Amino acid sequence: MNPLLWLELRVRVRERRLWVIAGFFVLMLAIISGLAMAVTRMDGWHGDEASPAVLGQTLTWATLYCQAGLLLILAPLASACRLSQEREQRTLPALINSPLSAWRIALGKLYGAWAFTLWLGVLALPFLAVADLWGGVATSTIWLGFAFNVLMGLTLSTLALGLSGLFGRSLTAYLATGALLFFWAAALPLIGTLTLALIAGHGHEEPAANLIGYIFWFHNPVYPSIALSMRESGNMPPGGWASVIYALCVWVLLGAGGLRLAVHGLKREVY
Amino acid sequence: MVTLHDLRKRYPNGVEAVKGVSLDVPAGEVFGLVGPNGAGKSTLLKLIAGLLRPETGKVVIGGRDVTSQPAQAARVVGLMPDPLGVYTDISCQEYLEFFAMTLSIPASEKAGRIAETVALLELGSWLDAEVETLSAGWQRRLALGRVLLSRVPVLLLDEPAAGLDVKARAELLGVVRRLAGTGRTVVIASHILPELQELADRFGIIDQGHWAEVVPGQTFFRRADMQTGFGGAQWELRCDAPERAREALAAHGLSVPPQLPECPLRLAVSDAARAAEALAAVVQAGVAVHDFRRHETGLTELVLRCLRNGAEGHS
Repeated sequence: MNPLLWLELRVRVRERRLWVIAGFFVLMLAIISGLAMAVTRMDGWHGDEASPAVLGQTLTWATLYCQAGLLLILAPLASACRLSQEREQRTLPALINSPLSAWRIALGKLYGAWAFTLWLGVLALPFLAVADLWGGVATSTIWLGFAFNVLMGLTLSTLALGLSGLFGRSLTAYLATGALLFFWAAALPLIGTLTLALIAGHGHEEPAANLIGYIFWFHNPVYPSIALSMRESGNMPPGGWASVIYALCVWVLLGAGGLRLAVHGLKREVY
Repeated sequence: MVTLHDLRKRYPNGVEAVKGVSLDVPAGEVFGLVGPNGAGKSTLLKLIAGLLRPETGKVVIGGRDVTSQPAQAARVVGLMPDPLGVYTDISCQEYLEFFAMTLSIPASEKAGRIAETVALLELGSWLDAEVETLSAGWQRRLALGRVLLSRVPVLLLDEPAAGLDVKARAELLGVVRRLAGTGRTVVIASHILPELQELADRFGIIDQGHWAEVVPGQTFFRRADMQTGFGGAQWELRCDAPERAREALAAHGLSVPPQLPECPLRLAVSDAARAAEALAAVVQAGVAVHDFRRHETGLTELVLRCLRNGAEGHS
């Protein structure tokens, strides 16, 4: 077992913060899923009786989107200080002076960050299991959505870990992570949408929209989930399945870059 | 055991912290590293430990060049840095277990190795305590435990007694003394010079990134006393009539600088025979001598003189 993972698990499990975040995560899932189901049932009371399948669909998508949103924030938040904190607490020289290589240190930290993300992911499983029992959405779709969310969480936590390796202060690492997240998840799609609006009506919309999609949209942290829900409602996602595969490839590349960044940060002489 | 060849280190901010330092520390020696704040002591220790890469020069430990292979350095050098940096939210037992894991100590040996370290540092009663509840002295012992777990032949201790009270300092230095007795090579940087004076076989006085002096302990003190540059051997005289004693000594060719009231007269003479002559001259002048002894120059005083001489040399 990687020593850093061993240490991370020991330390994090004892932190009250871990349980507070987990409690918040479950509470948010419960509130949003519960409200979504209540709204669906109320619609049913005004018109036709809501079928179990409709309730199942509501619960599935409410849970998956809520999980995606929470992981989008919490996964990088939990990783953004893992290496910078070692610098702040002056524990890094002892680690570097051990026979552990920078790669092993970074991987140990990464596994710790991933363990937290997986833990948050697992907390959504009971909601998805209930949704699956209601029916309305294919089990494979539910699992695929869950897998997309977890993969997104793992990518974001890896990126945040990489940034934390670059900075000596946790606050700077948090701010850098927040800025990157805002740029990737919000600013780029907005720029893409505005660019698309600018070129609308000039002809060649189809290839340009596709290109803009690949540059600004399709790698977005929630795009695969959106594509999945579009498919479920009978529409093809804008870029077809190739765009989802493209998104996953970009995530893997970004994750690899994040890990490389963490190793690079550990090799920097900041003692 | 530890050989430094013309090490130079410049930080990204342009400060050249180490300027062409060379040194050879044989196996089993305790080498004291002293100098003012910012002189380059910590940088030098980090260069030896492989935490920093030098611009030029190399570090050879046990015949192996570790300059380009910091991982190699980690297997032969244990650094106790300053500030200490210990994980505070785990127990002492977990702290030692964690570092035993980083060293890839086989499971069959791990418990024995930890027990050995705990016994040497007398950490037994603190094993279940959280590190953050330990006093500064015990945290330093624990950090030393991390270094000892690896059984490395070379220990680098950066200010091991910094911030400790007198008792904790004496206890920790006792531990260092015991370690020195086990044949390990110890390089110890400290501002607490009287303790270092007792421990070290040799001293290196570093100032502005280069050596002001590197000399064996005993030779250093003897030479420091005798060389003209250090004012000659100092003798202290206490008597009932200091003014009359001063006149008698002046008549004997020895000038004695004015002293504060109640302080002994201090005279510089080249050897013990000359000192005896001076004493006889004072007694013959009818002065009642209460005490006459050779003044032992402390490391603190000598380091200050070295640095002063170095500064004058540079200017």
